[in-house]
Order: sequence, then structure tokens, then C-alpha cells
Amino acid sequence: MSERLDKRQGEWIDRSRSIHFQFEGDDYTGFHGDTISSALWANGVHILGRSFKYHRPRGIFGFDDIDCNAMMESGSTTNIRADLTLIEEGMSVKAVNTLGSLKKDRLRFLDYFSAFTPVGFYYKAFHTPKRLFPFYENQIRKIAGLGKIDAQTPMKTVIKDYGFCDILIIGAGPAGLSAAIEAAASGANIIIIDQTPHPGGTLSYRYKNKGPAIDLLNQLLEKVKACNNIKLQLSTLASGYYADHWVCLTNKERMTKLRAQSVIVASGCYEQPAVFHNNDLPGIMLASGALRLINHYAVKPFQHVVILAANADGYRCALDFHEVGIHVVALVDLRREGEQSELDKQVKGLGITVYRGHFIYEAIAGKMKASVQGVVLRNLDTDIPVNKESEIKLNCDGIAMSVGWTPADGILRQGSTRMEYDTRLEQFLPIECVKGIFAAGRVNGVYALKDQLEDGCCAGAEATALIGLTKPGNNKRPPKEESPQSHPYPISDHPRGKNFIDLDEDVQVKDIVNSVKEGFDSAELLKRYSTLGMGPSQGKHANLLALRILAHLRGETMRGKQITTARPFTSPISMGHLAGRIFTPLRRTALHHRHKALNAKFMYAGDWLRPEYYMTDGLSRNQCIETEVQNVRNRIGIVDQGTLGKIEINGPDVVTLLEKVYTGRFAKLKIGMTRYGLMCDESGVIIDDGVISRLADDRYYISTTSSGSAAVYQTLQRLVIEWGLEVILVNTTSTYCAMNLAGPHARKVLQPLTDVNLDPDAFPYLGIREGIVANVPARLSRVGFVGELGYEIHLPADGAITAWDAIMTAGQTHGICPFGVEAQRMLRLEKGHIIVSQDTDGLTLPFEAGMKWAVKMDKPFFIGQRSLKIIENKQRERILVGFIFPKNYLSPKPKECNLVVKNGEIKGRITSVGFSPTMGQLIGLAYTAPEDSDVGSTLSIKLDDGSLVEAKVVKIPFYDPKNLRQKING
Amino acid sequence: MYIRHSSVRSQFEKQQLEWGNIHKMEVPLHFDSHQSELSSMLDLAICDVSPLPKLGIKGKGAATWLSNEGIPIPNGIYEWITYDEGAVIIRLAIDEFFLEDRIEGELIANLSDRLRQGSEGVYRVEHQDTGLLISGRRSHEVLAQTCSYPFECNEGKVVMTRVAMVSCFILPMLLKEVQIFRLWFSSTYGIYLWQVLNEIVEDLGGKSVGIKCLL
Repeated sequence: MSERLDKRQGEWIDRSRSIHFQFEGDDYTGFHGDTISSALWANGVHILGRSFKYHRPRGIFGFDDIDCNAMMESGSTTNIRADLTLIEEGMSVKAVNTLGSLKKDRLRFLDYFSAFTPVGFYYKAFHTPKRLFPFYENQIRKIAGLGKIDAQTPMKTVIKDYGFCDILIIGAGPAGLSAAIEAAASGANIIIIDQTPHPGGTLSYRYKNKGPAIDLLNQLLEKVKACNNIKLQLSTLASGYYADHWVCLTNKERMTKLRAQSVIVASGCYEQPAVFHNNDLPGIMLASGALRLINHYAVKPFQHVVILAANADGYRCALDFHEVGIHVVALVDLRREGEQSELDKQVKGLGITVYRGHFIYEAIAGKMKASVQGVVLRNLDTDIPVNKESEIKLNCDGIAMSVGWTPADGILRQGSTRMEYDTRLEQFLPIECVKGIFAAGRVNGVYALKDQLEDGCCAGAEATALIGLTKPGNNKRPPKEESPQSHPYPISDHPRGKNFIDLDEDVQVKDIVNSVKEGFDSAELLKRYSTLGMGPSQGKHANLLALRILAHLRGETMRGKQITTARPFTSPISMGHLAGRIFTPLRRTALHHRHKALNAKFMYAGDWLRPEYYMTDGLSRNQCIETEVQNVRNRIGIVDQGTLGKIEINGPDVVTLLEKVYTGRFAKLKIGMTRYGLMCDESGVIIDDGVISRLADDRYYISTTSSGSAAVYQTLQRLVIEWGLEVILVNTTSTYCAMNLAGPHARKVLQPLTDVNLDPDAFPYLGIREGIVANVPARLSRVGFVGELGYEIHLPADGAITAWDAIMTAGQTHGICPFGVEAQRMLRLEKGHIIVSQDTDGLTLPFEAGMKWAVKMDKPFFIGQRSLKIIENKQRERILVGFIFPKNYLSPKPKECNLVVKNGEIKGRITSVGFSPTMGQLIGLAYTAPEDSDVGSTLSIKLDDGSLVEAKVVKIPFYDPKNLRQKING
Repeated sequence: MYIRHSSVRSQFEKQQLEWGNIHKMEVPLHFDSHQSELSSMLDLAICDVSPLPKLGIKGKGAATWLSNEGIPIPNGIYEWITYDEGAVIIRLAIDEFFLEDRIEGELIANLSDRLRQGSEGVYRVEHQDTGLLISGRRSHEVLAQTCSYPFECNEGKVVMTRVAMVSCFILPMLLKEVQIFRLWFSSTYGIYLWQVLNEIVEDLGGKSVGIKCLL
């Protein structure tokens, strides 16, 4: 641990707990509390990763949670951020984005070819010849990208939860803490979050040379601790803001969707880098990053440093560096007038040379560009291309940059805060926040410590007043900083380039210049063309610099300029966080486990899981389905219809409702009888169908399609309210299970189990009765959907298994077998019954689907009637017809949605098709032109492979046209 | 009366446990020792309480009918009261009530009989909802992961919300000074929601417990 300093007051490491870990296969030791980056730097390891494009060595740069060149992988976990992630005992990490090893990365040669690979080179280079594009793409994909995903990694659930509070404060620095303390007095429920593992913000690493920082921090924390209504949540990132103050919080274990009544953003600033040749070498870092390394982790960032400054902070850094024994070789001030405060004297008093009006022209690289050996300075007023004599060369092993700040305003921007560039402060400032969002501290352009505290207090008071816990006061926010904290153009050009703006994506100054030359001269276009700001740090160091260059190239000022749109997430979060625990609601009928025991093959039908068919050893899917169909036709079958929509409708106005909603007549429907009901929307399009059963004068029970149950129920509810009807609606879809017992033996099987007289005279076709089945209260109705003698049995869900078991036992001697959805579809197809939403679509009218018989146009009113009256006498565009293939035709089998064509024009499509075991041939339903709908016409069907096959139009139903089977006296 | 089946019964069938018959429904009485389950109830536990009989009453005469039957009714919508040492009466709307019996109660059976005799403007609503109970000092953590309602702000009312994307109504209450949440939802989601909630309970170190804990 060669770079470790003596104990620092307030340091974040626990020196009593050594941690052993591996990096790139080598053993290292750090302390508990060290991040991977700090521990490695303390061990003298300065190359932490390779850059994305040119594979240049990179070290600690900002150490501000966005050092995206220091990405690691460990086992199956990739893209571990070394500046954020704490070391753990036994941890083994290696850098991502290398071929071979970090030190001997075989892709480092790319740096030498950089002249041939400016941004956008692939747009121009790899589009011809076209046949080679897959090869290029493959190679680029192999090289590009950070980290590799191990698809075999077992899924680990990241917790997602919801949280609530009155006031959320983002940032536990001086402004955030003082805001919390102020707001807590009102009794508000407050949560403060901070991305770092320790509170304090700048108090934890800056102001050291002024003495009271740690004391002040401790005082603030004591006050926070004393407030039971403040919860301090560390190592937590506010990663996204959504409308109505929903804020996404992420930490290692979970993602919390937190709803606050008010949000105070006190997230501080990101320090901004300067741009010069080789400004990415390991050893070059932001001054704040160096201070964090020193004060949080007691690690010496460098031995001999040159400071590049454009504000007072640079001078304070010089004092801090000197204090810990770092040799400050020189302080280079970009400002011609230099520092006007006492700091200038203090720095000079330490014997540090200050170069006013100078800039770093280039950093001199060490071997393999793995370190800094020195700097070349130039005078700002020198004519750079000609007068090289004015250059000053200094030896150093580190450069600290303190040239400006940009607000950490991701959350503010996502929250629609209007941010504008302030030409006095040379940074963006929040001008207008939406209601309930407040900015405080440095993100608000307030830099002086006492002003930050006051700004936080004001924000706290404003937030409590807004949510009604206190009365609005006359809080006056402290003034913004008067002198600029940021340099307007800390950028120097260099003929050899490698003056990086975006270290994530290796974007250089010349790339911006080229982009502008090619016409990509706005922030949004520039981003897309150059990939600037598209790396993991999302341009937090780069966007402002690029904007400055853009304005410079266009000869404009920064006034009115905007960076690209801010969207969640503010920092990278893992895919696991996004996925979380997966909620996919799945509905099962009460008989689900009986089907499972009977070897059902399940299928998804909407959000239901239904038996598609029952598997039998030695039989194919089609054979199983055909066997089920034949069993219903010849013996007896039972199908679970629990998914059907079921609604009880009671009350004096129930008939009025049904007459208005359905196209048929129900006023005269006898008690104990059922009738088919068709429902249309206002435009006359079929939207649902079902069976309407009358149980008493004012008591009806209706079924709907499985997929339409919720929509029908909601529609009925709405209409009852709109029409002011006295009707009670109860959605019993889940309450009742339903099964259809069908086949010639149905009556024989069911009669012994029920108290209902099943004699056809007592219980005719289309009748409904209430009684018991296997002691379970049930409603029995005689319906004919599958075209055989059948009883639909509806009973309470908790009694479904009891009834099913009894029926299956009773049916054994009659050859009962369950049948699934597919067999049911074939059975009804043989009968020519349509399925709404399969044989109809979003435009199907009853006249087109052969349902005219179900529409009583002479009724006073029903929904859709007016439209149907208008359309009724117009020429139809399509008609649903039945078709068959010759009995010896088996393949290629047409599919649902295959087109019906004529002379190359589309005339319709197949809606249902399948092999009918009863008819012994392929049968189906299809829409076709009216002129081709006559019985005997030929349909030309275009198959998937483009070939055409012919089918013959026939009359439907295909099977039992006189409907004798369902009325059989079995 | 017929043998009833809970929608989540299949989730327990392969486990070693003590079964019992509650209101004609076979349910787990114990998964573990009574003492251990009581301890889980205090910390974090989930229990299938579907056997408890339920009844819905709806219609403009519903409130009067219940009062005439001597049943106390809550004043406000989503307010609730307990009755008969454990039965729950919830007002879901001005003219709609939900009643659930206690383990050894006969309230629902009696009321159902009376309702069959008919009364103008009063309609029976069959309730076959799955009933779950999440209990213990950490029970709110389970709901925090599945439901976006701030229960800490709830003033003792029933909440109509969604849990893991399933519509539920939830009653937060204290049972012998232990925080519990009663959940009722469509039995067609029974297996799904049990699996989701039980997984979260187990991830948090809680357990599933038998219905006998409630006695």
C-alpha cells in the first residue's frame, strides 16, 4: 500500500479490517470501505481500464461515480463500476473491454490507427460491398461494447418496491442536510438519499484547509439523528424522475419507486475537465477526484502535481495537496488576472509557482501512455503555431484540473425544470422548477458554504409550505455566486489530437469539428453522429464541453444553448434492477390441477392458462385432438369452460338494459330459457356474443366470450349509470366455474348426479335450470355450441372439483374423456358456429358474418342499430362462407389468415380451418367477395409459400344441418 | 353441503403438514409446530384463509336488510367492523356489503338461509374469492414489493388496489396486536398470487403457516 496516507479525519476506510482481493489475477490488500479504484490506487496500480474505442490506458479520472473507463467484471457480473463498488474479501475482478489482459491488451494497436477511425468512419467505410456488411458487423460487434453478458447466469431477483414520503431530499451535502433539518420541524416525513456510502457531500472532502468542515458535518448529522422523521438512506441513487414526484431510487439490493409530495434536489455539481493533448493519461484527474481520494480513502493521488485552475477551488486544492505532502510543481491559471483572493498569496507563500494566463498545451506521456511524465504549458497570448519558444516544460506525475463545474441536474431536467445557461457564472442554472420540486445548494448555483446552508433551509421551508405543513414564509434565497466558478472555454486544440472531450466514447475535439463540418451542428445531431454523451456517464463530463466547442465553431455565445434531453436513468443501472421480480398474472380455472393430472397440454389464451388438448402416449397432437372430437360425437366429452365471462344482472330495469345492449329480443324470453345474444358497438361492428338466460322476472344470467368478459362488464356498468337504470350487476366470471358435458351419453351420465329433471320435455333444448350437481349448487343449461346433446354446468368455483370428479366417475362406463380448446374449436367449426374475435375482426358487421338472424332491426333501439340501418342495404364487401377441400386433399394445409385472392387481388382471408375427423376432410370459414360466396363457388387461397390452392364454398353448418344431434333423446 | 376446495390447495399437496377441515374445505392446519408458527405470525407469515365463508349483499335494500337481521353495518364506504368475535363486515359501496365469517362461525350460513327467503331490493352476491392473510411486523415489506398503496397513511379503511398486478381488496388490521393484512381477490389468480407472495415472504425469511394459528 505504497500510496496510503496517514489517518485522515473523517476517512471512510476502516484500517482495522484488511480486505484481500484480486485484480487481473494479482493479489492486493485494501481496507474495509475502500472502493476497487481507491484500493488499487493505494497499491500503486494506476491503469484501471482501457478506453472504449482506442483501448488507451485509463486510471482514476473524476472519482465522482462516473469513472466509466474503470469498469470491471467478476464471475458472471459485468460492468462493475470500480469507483463506486466496495472491495470484498476474496473478490476477484478484471477490467472489461480488453483482449488478453489489461496490461497487454491486444487491441491497444487501435490507438495507432486512430487517424483512420474518426467518429462515423463506419458509416462511410462499411456499407460497400454490401455482401461484406455481415462480416464487418460481426467484427465490430466483437470489438465494441463493454463487458460480456453470461447468458447462463442464474436469475437473481432484484427487489423492486414502493416507498412514500412527504419530502424527498436528493443529496446529503450541506444544502440537503440543512433542508432536512428545517423541514423536519414541521413534522414532515423526510427521506434524504445520497449515492455515496457516507453523508456530507462536499463537507466530507473539501474545505479541509479551512478547518470546520468535519465539525460542521457532525453538527448537522447530530441534528438529523435527533429527528425521528428523517430517514437517511445512503449508497442510493435517484436514477429517474417521473410525473407527480415519482422518483426511482436504486441501490445494490433494490429499486424503489418512491412517491414524494415534494422533492428537494441538492445534488451538487460535477467538476468539469479541461481539454488538452493526452488529457486522459492515468494520473490526470479532476481536482475534486484527487481530494476525494485523499480525504475519503487516505490515498495519495500523485507525488508531483501540476494544477490547472480557473477558479479559487484550484488554489484550495494546492493548499490541501501541500498539506498531505504532495509536491505542487506549479499552479497554471487559465485566467489572465489570476486569483484575486488571499488564496493566491497563501499558495505563493508555500513556494508554489503560479502561471497566470497559461494553459496546458499537452501532457507528456510515459511509457505505453500509462502515466504522466510532464506537461507543456503555453501562454494564452502567444501565437501557438509559430512561437514554440514560449513553451514551458514541467516534470510531474499528475495533473489536477479545477476549471469549472456543471450542476448535477439530471433529476431536475427530467422533472421539466427549465435550465438556462448563465453567462455570468458560465454554467447552467435552474430558472423555473415545476410545482413541488426545489433546487438547493451548488446545483442551484450557490457555492459559498454558508449560502448553501441557507439555501437548503429555504428549500426545506418552501417544501413544507407547499405540502401544507407550514404557512408560506418570506424566505429569501441567498444570492448566486458572483464570480464565475467555471472557465468559458478550457479547451486547447492540438495538431496531434488526442485531446479528449468524452472519455467514455473517446470523442476528441477534431471529432466535433468534423461533425459540424458535415452538418451535424446542433447538440442533438452532434450526439447521434459522434456518440458523444452516449457512454455510461451520459456525457456528464462531456456535454458542456461539446456545447462550448459547438458554440465556438458556430461563432455564437452560450446564451440560449441547451444540452440534449435528459431522460432516466441518470446513471447506469443493471438490467436486473429493471427486470426485478416479474409479475405476469396468470389465471387458472378451478379445475386446473385436474387437467394437469390428466396430462393436459396447456396453452395461453389471453391471461388464462387452458388445456389445449390432453396428451396420450403414442399419439400426435392432431391425433389427440381428433380422438377428443370423435369421443364427443360418439360417446361423451367434458370441457372446462371456466374462462367464459359470466355476469348476473338483477333488478327491475334488467330487460330494458338487455334490449338496448343486445341485437336480439329478450323481453319475452321465458323464465327458464336461454337465447343467443349478439353485441355490437355504435358502428354496428360485432364486439361480443354469449347466452342470455332468464332465471326470474328480474334476474338474468349472461355469458360472454372469455376475452370480452371484463370489457362487457365495464360497458354494462357504464350504460347502467348513463341510462339511470335500476340494475344490479355482478361479475361472476371468477365466482363460477363452468363445464360443458356433451355427447350422446350426456343425459345418462348427468341425471344420477343432479336433482334437475333432465327429461327433454321437462328440460328442453335452450332451457336453463337451477339445482345441484354432486351436491354442489349449479345452473344447468342446454346449449349446442359443439352440436351434440349437451349441458353447460355453472357452479361455485370451490365446488368445481367435487362436481368434476363425480361426473368423471359417473361417465367412466360411458367412455367419458375430457376435451380441450382445440377439439372444441373443431366441434363448433363443424357446426359453423363463429367465435367472436377469431371469425370476426374490428370491422365485422353481423350481415357479413352470417348473423343477420340474430339482429332484430325492427326493435325500437339497440346499440349499433342506427349504423346498421345505414349500412343494411349497401353492397357488402365481404361475406363469411364455409369451404371444404376434397376428401383426398391433405396438404399443404392452409392456415388461419391465409388470403383469399382473385386475379391477384385480396378478397378475404381464412378465419378458421382444420381437419374435421367427422367429415373426413379439411373444412373452414373464410371471408370472400359476395360474388364468390355462392355455394359451389371456388375460393383461391394463397398459402404461406405463395402457392395457390382451391377450395369449394359449401353451405354451413358442415355437420348436422338440421340440428338434430343437440336435441337427441339420449 | 359439498366438499370445497381452496384455489391454492395444489400448492400444499406435496408438503408434509397437518390437514384439517374448516367449513367443509380441507386446508393446512399446521406446517410446523404451533409455537413456531405463532412466532412466524409475529415476524412474517402468510396463510391461506380461503375456507372462511363469505357473502355479498347488494341492492338498495341491503343496508336495511342487514340492520333488520341485527347485523351492525359500517357507516362509511370502505369502513369495516368486526362482529361475532371475528366475523368481518365491510361496506364496499352505499348499497353493497361484504361479510366474512370466523373459523367456527355460523353467521354466513344463517344469513344465507334468510336471504334465500327473498327480500325486495336485496341481492345475494356469491363470493368465491381467495382469502390470504399476511401477518407480522414485516408484513408491510411484502406489500411494498407488490402494491403501490401507502398503507402507512391508511386510516383503518379497506383498500381496493392491485397486488402484483391483480385486483384485490385489502384490510389492514391488528389481530391480537399483530399487524396483519387480509387480502381478497379472484380465485382464478389464486395460484399465481400465492406463488408470488409466498416467494417474497420466504425471500424475506418468513414462512407459510396453517390456519390454526388464527384460533
